[in-house]
Amino acid sequence: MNNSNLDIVSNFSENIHVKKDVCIIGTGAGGCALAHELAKNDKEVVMLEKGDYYDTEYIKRQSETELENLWKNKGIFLSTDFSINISQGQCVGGSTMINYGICFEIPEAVFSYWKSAFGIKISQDEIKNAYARVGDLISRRKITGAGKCHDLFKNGCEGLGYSGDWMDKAYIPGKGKQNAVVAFLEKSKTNKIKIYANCAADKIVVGGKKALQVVGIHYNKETKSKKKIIVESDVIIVSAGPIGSSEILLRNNLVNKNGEVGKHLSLHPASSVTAKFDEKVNGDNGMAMAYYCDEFNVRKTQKPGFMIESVFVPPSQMSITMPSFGQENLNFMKSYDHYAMAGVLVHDEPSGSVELNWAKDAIVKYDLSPADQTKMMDGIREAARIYFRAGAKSVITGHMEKTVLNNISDLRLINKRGAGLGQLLVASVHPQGGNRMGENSANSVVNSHCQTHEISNLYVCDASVFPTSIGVNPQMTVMAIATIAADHINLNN
Amino acid sequence: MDPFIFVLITLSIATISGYISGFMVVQINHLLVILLGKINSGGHAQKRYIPTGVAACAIYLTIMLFFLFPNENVVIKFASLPFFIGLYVFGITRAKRLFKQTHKILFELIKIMYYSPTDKKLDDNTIKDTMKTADSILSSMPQSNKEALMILLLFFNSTTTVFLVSLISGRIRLKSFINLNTIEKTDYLQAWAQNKFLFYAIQGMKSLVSFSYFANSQSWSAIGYNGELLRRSYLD
Repeated sequence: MNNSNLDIVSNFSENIHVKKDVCIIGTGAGGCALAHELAKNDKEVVMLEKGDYYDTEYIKRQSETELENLWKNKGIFLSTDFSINISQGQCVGGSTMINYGICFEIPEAVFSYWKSAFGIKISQDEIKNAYARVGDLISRRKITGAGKCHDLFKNGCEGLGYSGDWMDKAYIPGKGKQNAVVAFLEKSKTNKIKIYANCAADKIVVGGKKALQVVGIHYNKETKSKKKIIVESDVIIVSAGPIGSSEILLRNNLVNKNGEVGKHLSLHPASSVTAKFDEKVNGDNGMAMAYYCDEFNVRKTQKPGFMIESVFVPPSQMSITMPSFGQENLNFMKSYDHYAMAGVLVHDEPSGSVELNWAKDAIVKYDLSPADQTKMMDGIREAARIYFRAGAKSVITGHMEKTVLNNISDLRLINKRGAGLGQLLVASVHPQGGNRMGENSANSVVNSHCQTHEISNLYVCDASVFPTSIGVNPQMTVMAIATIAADHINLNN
Repeated sequence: MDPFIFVLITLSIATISGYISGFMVVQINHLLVILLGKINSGGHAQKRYIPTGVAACAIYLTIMLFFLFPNENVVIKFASLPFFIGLYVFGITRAKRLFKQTHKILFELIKIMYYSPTDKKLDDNTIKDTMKTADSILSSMPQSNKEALMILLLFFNSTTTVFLVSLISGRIRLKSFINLNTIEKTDYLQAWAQNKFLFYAIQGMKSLVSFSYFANSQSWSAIGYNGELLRRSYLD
């Protein structure tokens, strides 16, 4: 089903061999921004996507359970000790298809740290210019009319004098959220871009010091057979997301002489705070995400802290964060229309790693460091304080042990409950790092232009190149870095 | 020793020890996954059975050659090795058949989690749809996650676990979870829910069941959900 102007092949029954200028593995925020800029410069681009293509019509008519098809493993990917679930998109458009299109620029303190600690050579002007170009394409604008559950959060922030604002979002009123497919690919020279969906990149063949071709495996859903696709190209870009890109490089034993591939992974661990109000909030009538409090975030404090973001999720996701089992859990869920919700997003240390298991599949090792646990507890406490200020009757945290706070004095319970393994339900939708960017080839995988240190025509371009987590939603920064990398490729190839 | 009797004894030892080794290696693997958690990161348990099998063969031969009947016919001892290997594989197969129970365990778990003596509205279709969603999520899970979750379900169901967990709440139950009656199942689940360490252990199961239950439209009217938020978050 392809109602767009894009050249997308979702099924094929013969092996395919193509030769193009550039092969991009992955069609998420980074891959689509790259394809757009490269095609603009008349490069012939092939994109390989492991997931399927789902257009707007499909999304409009499918049930909620079917919509989970847009997620990698239906949204479930647990770290090795089961302490954190990492959700990512896996379809043409990647995570931009399933996220809320929230736009933040990299905080200045983080960017300065990248420059001083890792020698990143991207200038302030360069990144500002890239943000402006990306912002135009994705129609970045401030959210308005988000709904009561977000208004309550805003009221609470203002009541406490905490810094905050409505988020910027990639959307056009009346037309809806802008994902990477509509914002980049559909606005590209579409005759220059060919997308193969349901194709998992398996091998990157290297000869001498050059990457020569990508071998992908296509799974034909109709015939249930596998076919091979071989893409020969002058430039190969791995843009499969922090876990996927590291997995491909590790599996092919590429650009890893210094052992840095898969290292320094951050996850932006997040936990929920749900507030119950006497009056109906009807969060499901509003936007899914809209207001942020950055009082304790690096944007305000110049050091890693946490961000609190107002969010509202479907009952399937909310029920997991609610206490207990079955009937008691159901009783909590019966107040769904009286709830407002916020997520505490911790600006974490890059303490995780992507590795391969015996079957050569990616696994994630990650521990929430004591410092990050403290940030998490502080964040939950502040989010609860905001909601009590807004008039909440009670606040429920995402602790494993049932934790319902009935007034400000109950905030002391949060420290007692903790935020370590087995204490708090933590999720991630912003994995970053794994293939660190830096000018020192001894401790990084790619240079400032996403070009690998070891193979000059092999690039890695997604959130995996972030040297550290950035403390805010990363989508726009991925797009900006991809835009800069595309300029570099256009200039040098 | 009479050669015929020695052949019989050797084959019996190979058969019994091979089967027990195969069966136990799966059980021990389960136990390690549950106790150490991180073992599951290996994924694909079957790959661990090959080196374990090689080690078991080496131990079997060492015992047969040097400790049991050291002076008997070496050729017969070596000839019994294929029996040992065959029964080792059979033991593994038998133990892994237990995995087939996980579907039934999950089904019973869903039923009991949303069972309400006062609310008869919950019909079979809701349970079936929830189960369908849970199955679909399980089949999409990374192999290592899925393996660990299935092992957890077996652990949750086992008679020993039911006995020990029930004992905590002062009851004696000597049945597996799926064989308990409704009241007993509810009590058993409550015992897990009320103990924070036990609750953590089955958080994965709770997440799977809760997610699957509330992803289905039958559950929405009871909580006042309009059913459009997820779709709108993708489009608007």
